[in-house]
Amino acid sequence: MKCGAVQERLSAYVDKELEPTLQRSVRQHLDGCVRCREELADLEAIDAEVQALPQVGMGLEFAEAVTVKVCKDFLARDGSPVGRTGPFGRLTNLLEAVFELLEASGSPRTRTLDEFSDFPPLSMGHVYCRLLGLCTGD
Amino acid sequence: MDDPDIELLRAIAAGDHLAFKRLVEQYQSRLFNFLYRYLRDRATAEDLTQEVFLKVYQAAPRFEPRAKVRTWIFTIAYNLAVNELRRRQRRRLFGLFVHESREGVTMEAPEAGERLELEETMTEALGLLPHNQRAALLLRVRDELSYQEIAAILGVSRASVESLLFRARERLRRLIRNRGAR
Repeated sequence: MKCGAVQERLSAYVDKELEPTLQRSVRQHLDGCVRCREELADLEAIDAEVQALPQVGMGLEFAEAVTVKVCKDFLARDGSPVGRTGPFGRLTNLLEAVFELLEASGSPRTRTLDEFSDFPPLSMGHVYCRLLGLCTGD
Repeated sequence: MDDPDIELLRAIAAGDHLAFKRLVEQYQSRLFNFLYRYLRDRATAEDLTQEVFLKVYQAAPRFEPRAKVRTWIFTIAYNLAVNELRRRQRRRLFGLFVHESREGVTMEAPEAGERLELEETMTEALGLLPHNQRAALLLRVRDELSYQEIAAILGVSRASVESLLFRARERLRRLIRNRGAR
Protein backbone atom coordinates (compact mmCIF):
# COMPACT_ATOMS: atom_id res chain seq x y z
CA MET A 1 0.00 0.00 0.00
CA LYS A 2 1.09 3.55 -0.71
CA CYS A 3 1.25 6.27 1.92
CA GLY A 4 -1.72 8.19 0.45
CA ALA A 5 -4.01 5.17 0.56
CA VAL A 6 -2.88 4.30 4.08
CA GLN A 7 -3.38 7.81 5.41
CA GLU A 8 -6.93 7.91 4.03
CA ARG A 9 -7.69 4.80 6.06
CA LEU A 10 -5.91 5.72 9.27
CA SER A 11 -9.06 7.11 10.84
CA ALA A 12 -10.92 3.81 10.36
CA TYR A 13 -7.75 1.94 11.35
CA VAL A 14 -7.64 3.77 14.70
CA ASP A 15 -11.28 2.79 15.21
CA LYS A 16 -10.55 -0.84 14.27
CA GLU A 17 -13.32 -0.64 11.69
CA LEU A 18 -11.38 -1.79 8.62
CA GLU A 19 -11.83 -5.20 7.07
CA PRO A 20 -9.39 -7.59 8.79
CA THR A 21 -7.20 -7.96 5.68
CA LEU A 22 -7.04 -4.20 5.18
CA GLN A 23 -6.34 -3.67 8.86
CA ARG A 24 -3.37 -6.05 8.54
CA SER A 25 -2.09 -4.33 5.38
CA VAL A 26 -2.19 -0.91 7.05
CA ARG A 27 -0.40 -2.30 10.11
CA GLN A 28 2.31 -3.80 7.92
CA HIS A 29 2.77 -0.50 6.10
CA LEU A 30 2.98 1.37 9.40
CA ASP A 31 5.71 -0.98 10.62
CA GLY A 32 7.97 0.26 7.84
CA CYS A 33 6.89 3.90 7.36
CA VAL A 34 7.89 6.65 9.77
CA ARG A 35 5.80 9.34 8.07
CA CYS A 36 2.57 7.33 8.31
CA ARG A 37 3.38 6.44 11.93
CA GLU A 38 3.61 10.16 12.66
CA GLU A 39 0.25 10.70 10.99
CA LEU A 40 -1.19 7.94 13.15
CA ALA A 41 0.29 9.49 16.30
CA ASP A 42 -1.33 12.83 15.35
CA LEU A 43 -4.73 11.20 14.96
CA GLU A 44 -4.40 9.38 18.26
CA ALA A 45 -3.43 12.62 19.97
CA ILE A 46 -6.55 14.33 18.58
CA ASP A 47 -8.74 11.50 19.87
CA ALA A 48 -7.03 11.63 23.26
CA GLU A 49 -7.78 15.35 23.51
CA VAL A 50 -11.44 14.86 22.61
CA GLN A 51 -11.69 12.06 25.15
CA ALA A 52 -10.00 14.20 27.79
CA LEU A 53 -12.63 16.93 27.60
CA PRO A 54 -14.26 16.79 31.01
CA GLN A 55 -17.62 15.12 31.53
CA VAL A 56 -20.05 17.77 32.63
CA GLY A 57 -21.89 16.57 35.69
CA MET A 58 -25.61 16.63 36.25
CA GLY A 59 -27.26 17.00 39.61
CA LEU A 60 -27.76 13.78 41.54
CA GLU A 61 -31.44 14.56 41.77
CA PHE A 62 -31.86 14.65 37.97
CA ALA A 63 -32.99 11.04 37.60
CA GLU A 64 -35.52 11.39 40.41
CA ALA A 65 -36.81 14.71 39.10
CA VAL A 66 -37.05 13.55 35.52
CA THR A 67 -38.83 10.33 36.53
CA VAL A 68 -41.43 12.25 38.51
CA LYS A 69 -41.84 14.89 35.80
CA VAL A 70 -41.97 12.49 32.88
CA CYS A 71 -44.41 10.12 34.55
CA LYS A 72 -46.64 13.02 35.60
CA ASP A 73 -46.48 14.63 32.15
CA PHE A 74 -47.17 11.34 30.50
CA LEU A 75 -50.15 10.52 32.66
CA ALA A 76 -51.54 14.01 32.19
CA ARG A 77 -51.05 13.96 28.40
CA ASP A 78 -52.31 10.44 28.15
CA GLY A 79 -55.62 11.38 29.76
CA SER A 80 -55.35 9.27 32.85
CA PRO A 81 -57.82 9.91 35.69
CA VAL A 82 -55.17 12.00 37.48
CA GLY A 83 -56.43 15.55 37.96
CA ARG A 84 -59.75 15.01 36.13
CA THR A 85 -62.58 16.36 38.19
CA GLY A 86 -66.18 17.48 37.81
CA PRO A 87 -69.15 15.36 36.71
CA PHE A 88 -68.00 15.01 33.09
CA GLY A 89 -64.46 14.25 34.19
CA ARG A 90 -65.66 11.47 36.47
CA LEU A 91 -67.89 10.07 33.77
CA THR A 92 -64.99 10.11 31.32
CA ASN A 93 -62.82 8.34 33.88
CA LEU A 94 -65.43 5.67 34.38
CA LEU A 95 -66.02 5.13 30.66
CA GLU A 96 -62.30 5.00 30.06
CA ALA A 97 -61.88 2.48 32.87
CA VAL A 98 -64.61 0.31 31.39
CA PHE A 99 -63.15 0.51 27.90
CA GLU A 100 -59.75 -0.25 29.30
CA LEU A 101 -61.11 -3.33 31.00
CA LEU A 102 -62.72 -4.50 27.79
CA GLU A 103 -59.61 -3.82 25.76
CA ALA A 104 -57.20 -6.72 25.84
CA SER A 105 -54.25 -4.60 24.78
CA GLY A 106 -50.71 -4.79 26.11
CA SER A 107 -50.73 -1.10 26.93
CA PRO A 108 -48.51 -0.19 29.91
CA ARG A 109 -51.50 1.58 31.42
CA THR A 110 -53.81 -1.40 31.28
CA ARG A 111 -54.77 -2.16 34.86
CA THR A 112 -56.00 -5.30 36.49
CA LEU A 113 -59.54 -5.69 37.81
CA ASP A 114 -58.30 -5.44 41.40
CA GLU A 115 -57.09 -1.92 40.79
CA PHE A 116 -60.62 -0.81 39.98
CA SER A 117 -61.95 -1.75 43.39
CA ASP A 118 -61.27 1.66 44.93
CA PHE A 119 -64.23 3.59 43.48
CA PRO A 120 -65.95 5.88 46.01
CA PRO A 121 -68.96 4.29 47.74
CA LEU A 122 -72.27 4.69 45.87
CA SER A 123 -70.52 5.59 42.62
CA MET A 124 -71.44 3.62 39.51
CA GLY A 125 -67.99 2.10 39.51
CA HIS A 126 -68.43 0.92 43.09
CA VAL A 127 -71.77 -0.67 42.25
CA TYR A 128 -70.23 -2.29 39.17
CA CYS A 129 -67.33 -3.62 41.22
CA ARG A 130 -69.67 -4.99 43.87
CA LEU A 131 -71.57 -6.83 41.21
CA LEU A 132 -68.29 -8.33 40.07
CA GLY A 133 -67.43 -9.13 43.69
CA LEU A 134 -64.34 -6.93 43.73
CA CYS A 135 -65.40 -4.27 46.27
CA THR A 136 -65.80 -5.19 49.91
CA GLY A 137 -69.03 -3.26 50.26
CA ASP A 138 -68.10 -1.38 53.43
CA MET B 1 -29.85 -9.53 19.70
CA ASP B 2 -27.88 -9.53 22.94
CA ASP B 3 -28.89 -6.23 24.48
CA PRO B 4 -28.98 -5.89 28.27
CA ASP B 5 -31.24 -2.84 28.05
CA ILE B 6 -34.10 -4.68 26.36
CA GLU B 7 -35.42 -6.05 29.66
CA LEU B 8 -35.29 -2.60 31.17
CA LEU B 9 -37.29 -1.20 28.27
CA ARG B 10 -39.85 -3.98 28.53
CA ALA B 11 -40.29 -3.18 32.21
CA ILE B 12 -40.77 0.50 31.35
CA ALA B 13 -43.34 -0.46 28.74
CA ALA B 14 -45.17 -2.34 31.47
CA GLY B 15 -45.29 0.84 33.56
CA ASP B 16 -42.39 0.13 35.91
CA HIS B 17 -41.26 3.56 37.10
CA LEU B 18 -38.23 2.18 38.93
CA ALA B 19 -36.99 0.64 35.70
CA PHE B 20 -37.46 4.01 34.04
CA LYS B 21 -35.43 5.70 36.77
CA ARG B 22 -32.68 3.12 36.31
CA LEU B 23 -32.58 3.80 32.59
CA VAL B 24 -32.39 7.55 33.26
CA GLU B 25 -29.51 7.03 35.69
CA GLN B 26 -27.74 4.84 33.18
CA TYR B 27 -27.98 7.24 30.25
CA GLN B 28 -28.41 10.74 31.68
CA SER B 29 -24.74 11.64 31.82
CA ARG B 30 -23.85 10.27 28.37
CA LEU B 31 -26.85 11.89 26.71
CA PHE B 32 -26.41 15.18 28.46
CA ASN B 33 -22.70 15.35 27.62
CA PHE B 34 -23.34 14.43 23.99
CA LEU B 35 -26.02 17.11 23.69
CA TYR B 36 -23.90 19.65 25.58
CA ARG B 37 -20.85 19.11 23.37
CA TYR B 38 -22.99 19.00 20.25
CA LEU B 39 -25.16 22.06 20.95
CA ARG B 40 -22.70 23.90 23.21
CA ASP B 41 -25.45 25.11 25.47
CA ARG B 42 -26.03 23.70 28.92
CA ALA B 43 -29.61 24.78 29.46
CA THR B 44 -30.77 23.43 26.10
CA ALA B 45 -28.83 20.21 26.64
CA GLU B 46 -30.61 19.71 29.97
CA ASP B 47 -34.03 20.39 28.47
CA LEU B 48 -33.40 18.05 25.57
CA THR B 49 -32.08 15.32 27.87
CA GLN B 50 -35.42 15.44 29.67
CA GLU B 51 -37.25 15.45 26.35
CA VAL B 52 -35.34 12.35 25.24
CA PHE B 53 -36.48 10.46 28.32
CA LEU B 54 -40.07 11.60 27.86
CA LYS B 55 -40.00 10.24 24.32
CA VAL B 56 -38.39 7.00 25.50
CA TYR B 57 -41.13 6.58 28.10
CA GLN B 58 -43.88 7.28 25.58
CA ALA B 59 -42.45 5.07 22.85
CA ALA B 60 -41.19 2.17 24.99
CA PRO B 61 -44.28 0.00 24.30
CA ARG B 62 -43.73 0.41 20.56
CA PHE B 63 -39.98 -0.30 20.57
CA GLU B 64 -39.01 -3.09 18.21
CA PRO B 65 -35.63 -4.63 18.98
CA ARG B 66 -34.22 -4.26 15.47
CA ALA B 67 -31.52 -2.00 16.87
CA LYS B 68 -29.86 -1.73 20.26
CA VAL B 69 -31.74 0.28 22.85
CA ARG B 70 -28.81 2.68 23.20
CA THR B 71 -28.76 3.29 19.43
CA TRP B 72 -32.45 4.07 19.57
CA ILE B 73 -32.01 6.44 22.53
CA PHE B 74 -29.11 8.26 20.87
CA THR B 75 -31.15 8.52 17.65
CA ILE B 76 -33.89 10.30 19.58
CA ALA B 77 -31.29 12.62 21.14
CA TYR B 78 -29.63 13.33 17.81
CA ASN B 79 -32.94 14.08 16.07
CA LEU B 80 -33.94 16.46 18.84
CA ALA B 81 -30.55 18.16 18.64
CA VAL B 82 -30.77 18.54 14.86
CA ASN B 83 -34.25 20.04 15.24
CA GLU B 84 -32.85 22.46 17.82
CA LEU B 85 -30.09 23.53 15.42
CA ARG B 86 -32.64 24.05 12.64
CA ARG B 87 -34.78 26.10 14.99
CA ARG B 88 -31.77 28.24 15.90
CA GLN B 89 -30.95 28.70 12.26
CA ARG B 90 -34.49 29.84 11.51
CA ARG B 91 -34.44 32.25 14.42
CA ARG B 92 -31.09 33.57 13.30
CA LEU B 93 -32.44 34.07 9.80
CA PHE B 94 -35.22 36.19 11.18
CA GLY B 95 -32.85 38.05 13.44
CA LEU B 96 -34.53 36.80 16.58
CA PHE B 97 -31.70 34.78 17.97
CA VAL B 98 -31.01 36.52 21.21
CA HIS B 99 -27.69 34.85 21.80
CA GLU B 100 -24.70 35.74 19.72
CA SER B 101 -24.69 34.71 16.09
CA ARG B 102 -21.96 32.12 16.59
CA GLU B 103 -22.67 28.89 18.37
CA GLY B 104 -20.79 28.22 21.51
CA VAL B 105 -21.27 31.48 23.28
CA THR B 106 -23.65 29.93 25.77
CA MET B 107 -21.15 27.30 26.81
CA GLU B 108 -20.30 27.80 30.42
CA ALA B 109 -17.27 29.91 31.05
CA PRO B 110 -14.85 27.92 33.16
CA GLU B 111 -13.38 29.31 36.31
CA ALA B 112 -9.93 30.76 35.93
CA GLY B 113 -7.27 28.10 35.80
CA GLU B 114 -9.82 25.32 35.73
CA ARG B 115 -9.32 24.38 32.13
CA LEU B 116 -6.13 23.98 30.22
CA GLU B 117 -5.49 26.02 27.12
CA LEU B 118 -5.48 22.93 24.95
CA GLU B 119 -8.85 21.90 26.26
CA GLU B 120 -10.23 25.31 25.39
CA THR B 121 -8.75 25.09 21.91
CA MET B 122 -10.24 21.65 21.40
CA THR B 123 -13.67 22.78 22.56
CA GLU B 124 -13.55 25.68 20.13
CA ALA B 125 -12.25 23.52 17.30
CA LEU B 126 -15.04 21.00 17.89
CA GLY B 127 -17.52 23.83 17.63
CA LEU B 128 -16.14 24.75 14.22
CA LEU B 129 -16.74 21.31 12.75
CA PRO B 130 -19.80 20.81 10.54
CA HIS B 131 -22.65 19.39 12.63
CA ASN B 132 -22.67 15.90 11.20
CA GLN B 133 -18.88 15.56 11.55
CA ARG B 134 -19.09 16.78 15.16
CA ALA B 135 -21.88 14.31 15.98
CA ALA B 136 -20.00 11.41 14.38
CA LEU B 137 -16.79 12.25 16.23
CA LEU B 138 -18.49 12.66 19.62
CA LEU B 139 -20.41 9.42 19.23
CA ARG B 140 -17.29 7.55 18.20
CA VAL B 141 -14.59 8.98 20.43
CA ARG B 142 -16.52 9.85 23.58
CA ASP B 143 -19.34 7.31 23.47
CA GLU B 144 -17.37 4.59 21.70
CA LEU B 145 -20.20 3.60 19.40
CA SER B 146 -19.49 1.44 16.36
CA TYR B 147 -19.70 2.79 12.80
CA GLN B 148 -22.86 0.76 12.30
CA GLU B 149 -24.53 2.34 15.32
CA ILE B 150 -23.44 5.84 14.30
CA ALA B 151 -24.76 5.22 10.78
CA ALA B 152 -28.15 4.26 12.23
CA ILE B 153 -28.24 7.32 14.49
CA LEU B 154 -27.23 9.80 11.79
CA GLY B 155 -29.34 8.07 9.14
CA VAL B 156 -26.42 7.64 6.74
CA SER B 157 -24.44 4.71 5.35
CA ARG B 158 -21.49 3.10 7.14
CA ALA B 159 -19.19 4.39 4.41
CA SER B 160 -20.43 7.94 5.06
CA VAL B 161 -19.59 7.55 8.75
CA GLU B 162 -16.05 6.51 7.81
CA SER B 163 -15.76 9.57 5.59
CA LEU B 164 -17.28 11.92 8.20
CA LEU B 165 -14.82 10.73 10.83
CA PHE B 166 -11.85 10.98 8.50
CA ARG B 167 -12.77 14.56 7.57
CA ALA B 168 -13.57 15.51 11.17
CA ARG B 169 -10.18 14.35 12.40
CA GLU B 170 -8.34 16.00 9.50
CA ARG B 171 -10.14 19.24 10.12
CA LEU B 172 -9.53 19.17 13.85
CA ARG B 173 -5.87 18.57 13.22
CA ARG B 174 -5.65 21.54 10.84
CA LEU B 175 -7.59 23.80 13.21
CA ILE B 176 -5.37 22.92 16.14
CA ARG B 177 -2.22 23.32 14.11
CA ASN B 178 -3.38 26.75 12.96
CA ARG B 179 -4.15 27.70 16.54
CA GLY B 180 -0.70 26.57 17.61
CA ALA B 181 0.95 28.54 14.82
CA ARG B 182 -0.67 31.82 15.90
